[in-house]
Amino acid sequence: MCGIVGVVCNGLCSKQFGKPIGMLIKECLLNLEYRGYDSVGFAIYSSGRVVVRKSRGKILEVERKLGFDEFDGSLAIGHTRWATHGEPTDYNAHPHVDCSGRIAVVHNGIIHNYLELKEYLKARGHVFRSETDTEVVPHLLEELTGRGYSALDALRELVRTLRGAYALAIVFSHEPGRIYFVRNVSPLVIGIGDGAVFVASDIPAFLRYTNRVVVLEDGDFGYVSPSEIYVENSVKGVVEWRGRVRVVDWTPDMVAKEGYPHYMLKEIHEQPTALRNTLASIALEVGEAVKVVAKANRVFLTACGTSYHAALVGEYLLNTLCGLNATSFIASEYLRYRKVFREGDVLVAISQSGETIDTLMAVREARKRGARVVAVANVLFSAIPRESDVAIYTRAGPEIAVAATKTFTAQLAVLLYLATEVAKILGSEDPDHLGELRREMTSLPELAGAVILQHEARIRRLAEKLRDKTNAFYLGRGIGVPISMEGALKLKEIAYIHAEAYPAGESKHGPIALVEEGFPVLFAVFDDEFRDLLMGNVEEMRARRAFTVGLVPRGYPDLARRFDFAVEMPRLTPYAAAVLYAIPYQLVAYYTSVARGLDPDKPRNLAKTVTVE
Amino acid sequence: MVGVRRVPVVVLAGGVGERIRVLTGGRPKALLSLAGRYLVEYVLDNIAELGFTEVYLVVGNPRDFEDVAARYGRRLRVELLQQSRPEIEGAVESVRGAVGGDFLLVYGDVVASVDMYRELVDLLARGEYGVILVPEEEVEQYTVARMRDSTTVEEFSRGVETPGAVGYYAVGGAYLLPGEFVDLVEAYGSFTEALNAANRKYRLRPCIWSGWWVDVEYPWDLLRATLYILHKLDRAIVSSSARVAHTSTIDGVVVIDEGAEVDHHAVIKGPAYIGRNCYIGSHTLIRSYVSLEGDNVVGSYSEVVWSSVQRGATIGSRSYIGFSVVGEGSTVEPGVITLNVVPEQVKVSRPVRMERRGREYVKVGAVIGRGARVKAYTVLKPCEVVE
Repeated sequence: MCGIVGVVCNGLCSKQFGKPIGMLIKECLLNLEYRGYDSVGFAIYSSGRVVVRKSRGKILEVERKLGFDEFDGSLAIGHTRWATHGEPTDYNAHPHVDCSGRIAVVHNGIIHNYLELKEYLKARGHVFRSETDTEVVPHLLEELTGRGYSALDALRELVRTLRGAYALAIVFSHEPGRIYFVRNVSPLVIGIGDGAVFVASDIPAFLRYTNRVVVLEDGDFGYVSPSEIYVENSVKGVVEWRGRVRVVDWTPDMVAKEGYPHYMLKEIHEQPTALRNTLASIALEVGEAVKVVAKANRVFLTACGTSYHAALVGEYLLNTLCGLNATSFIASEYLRYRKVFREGDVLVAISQSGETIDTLMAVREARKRGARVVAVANVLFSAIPRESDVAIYTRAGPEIAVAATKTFTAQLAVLLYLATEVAKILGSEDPDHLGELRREMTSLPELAGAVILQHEARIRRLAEKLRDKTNAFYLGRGIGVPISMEGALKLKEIAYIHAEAYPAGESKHGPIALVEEGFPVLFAVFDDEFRDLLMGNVEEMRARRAFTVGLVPRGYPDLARRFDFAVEMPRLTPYAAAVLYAIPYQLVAYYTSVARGLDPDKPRNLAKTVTVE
Repeated sequence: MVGVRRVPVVVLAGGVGERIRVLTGGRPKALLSLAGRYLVEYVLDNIAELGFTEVYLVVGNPRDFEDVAARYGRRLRVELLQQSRPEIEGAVESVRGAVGGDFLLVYGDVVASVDMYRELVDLLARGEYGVILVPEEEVEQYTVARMRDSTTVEEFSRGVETPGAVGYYAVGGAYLLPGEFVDLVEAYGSFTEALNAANRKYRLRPCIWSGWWVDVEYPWDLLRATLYILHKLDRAIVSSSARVAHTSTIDGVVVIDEGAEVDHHAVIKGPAYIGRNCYIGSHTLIRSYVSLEGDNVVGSYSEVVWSSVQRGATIGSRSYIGFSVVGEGSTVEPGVITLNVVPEQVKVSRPVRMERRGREYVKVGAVIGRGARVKAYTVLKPCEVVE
């Protein structure tokens, strides 16, 4: 998991954009930092040679050391790394170069057969300077061009030789006007701007400069120059890319922090808008997916991380609202279902980025076995939607913070909409109840705004108390279980506080042994049949002098009084309320992280999109 | 960032602070002392760090601030403006003529991390206007904003009608405004109405600040500010001209300034600041978050915890001073005890809350006014004010 970017301008960059190319590439990399931030580097073509600068550390930390702003030119590639092979060190940072320093490469992904290639190249006299898989690429290209291959022929050979996932941007010093690229599995897009062309791992990298985009497919390779774009596919031959140009409707503003100290807080606050956009567009797109799911014998839902918690909510909805045989599983465990998938099954694959490799592998396996696949993603035309039978999208806009917030609530909204439509077709639920649910759904965006506005200040105060804790429990029953699991994950990933979630009825079967005075226990209490049972669990925690926090439906002051800290939530049916209950837990995690002096946008050891198995 | 240097910053430091008058005695609030420096210096430091160079300091009496202005030398060009009329409206009107175009408006009595102001610098680069908002409880006493959505303020107002109302953000004391704002204040005669007018015309982008932030309004706000400022210290420093007895114990991050003297068997646990020419008597215990601002005497066998002791105050032997603010030049005679756990039924605005051994305590000690004298062996109740 890394971010790569390349830009080639029509003439000197400082003439074209009024800033040196080093500064431009830094800007692009900052927008890709969510993909990894172990190390950073760039290569710039400058007066006949390729200058490479790289270092470990976050971009803004090493900005001075690398001196981005000192370099001008017309062509540059850059890289921000999330280490997979080789430690995050200066010499393992990209770009990597060949022996002569004439070919520079940045890479995202993993090359599986790099060890054998490395042996072969070493035997041919090539000297390796890093422990990375990437370094085989420049040496291999050096070997090929040395044998008289043109750059494009060398790429053709490269695609045939390399195994694994890779997106590459390559500069040859003897072809100073072109950036060559290759894509297999790992994402890569071309951005077509005025007087400059970009290649990048993701659209936000260059969104400030252009919104005209070509999304590349597996096996695509070619080059970009200010006057020409050439794309060829290893299977299909020359690609007519003009038909694939899309205009993305994100504005550059949407990827800036807009006055919020962290992307995560901004994205929490954007949830009303994200829900509004998602609900508006889902109505138009959901038809096909509804038909597929309604005809299913069995439904599987798969995802990783936060999306998996959305899958669990989806499972609950499909079970209880539609009476379907639905099961969710964590995507990386897909192999155990290999013999289970068969024709008539439907797999719902949920991924914010649409590129999550584990989920993608599960999708491929299920399709191979004859199951139909419905994808839920936030990034249009990404790998999982492309490989699925039907795709439905959340319209949350780009999410930069590593911890998912607005995409989670948008996923819940999509799944809720899907489930109500399916229930309508199957006749599994009282139409009056479905109508009421639909009315509640239309009020969700507004209510989400109200929840944030009413509780942000109080939760900021609560976070001061949670700051020094080392553990927490998140408990619920019914639909409250996955919501609690999501709450616990948020606290773990950005506040580094160990948190566990489980169905509240399980307390007395073990976990309650951990509870002592002041142990934080957070309850999600819905206005449903589990309410009284759950309050029993609250009492059981209070008896052990735990510090209890409750999300409780409005209109039950007696319930609220029984918590040390209560957050009153709008009183809706649990299905619709679940979307809103996620929000206070996001704020709890965010403000606890801030109170502990951490950076919630960049949790240690984590990357936004996981594209390695 | 190129434009930053040219945009002037207006710092409002004219406020006397009615709620804190017992400590200031009518002198400006911004000149209260915190870890050896004036409150307003923390604001000016942040401004300098962001690369601004031109500052208009609006004050009641320019002579009070002359040494502050001089201290920044060439790093910041600090110009003193005399406030023509009282209240914030008067302060804003005083910058007429000095400020033409866009400007940053900053309160001189708000202590916050430099990152808070950075949000406005980002807006400046994009040519927008904005205001810092802080999610705070008890918004009654602040200028507040109600949000329409995440990017728009619906309305600014002075406090809220009903205590404990929710859905409001406190205005964080920093704005990026168009030059016309000065005219709007004059036209409407009210600061908040001018904000509303500016918001309608230019759209003030709300910047939500989630980090630490203290608006010094009540005496015990100084305690929270002390906490944050002392937390920023990263190592112990003992000045070469300080005298520290070899039997005393210095534990943690403690700054002992020039000419201070720590007598035998005294114990100082950091973070703490011992100002210039202070004297700590033998066997005295100074615990975390204590700031002795300078020329203080703490007699022997005393204990001081989380307190702000302003310049020249004396604390007699065998006293216990906790969660208290001791005013400039005051005298606490020997044996004075400050009680500081606020009973649950008593409501205090913005007290210090802390958790020890699983229980939450609301703590406020005594406020000993500027130049006051506390008789020997007095027991002061929580929140008691001695004038």
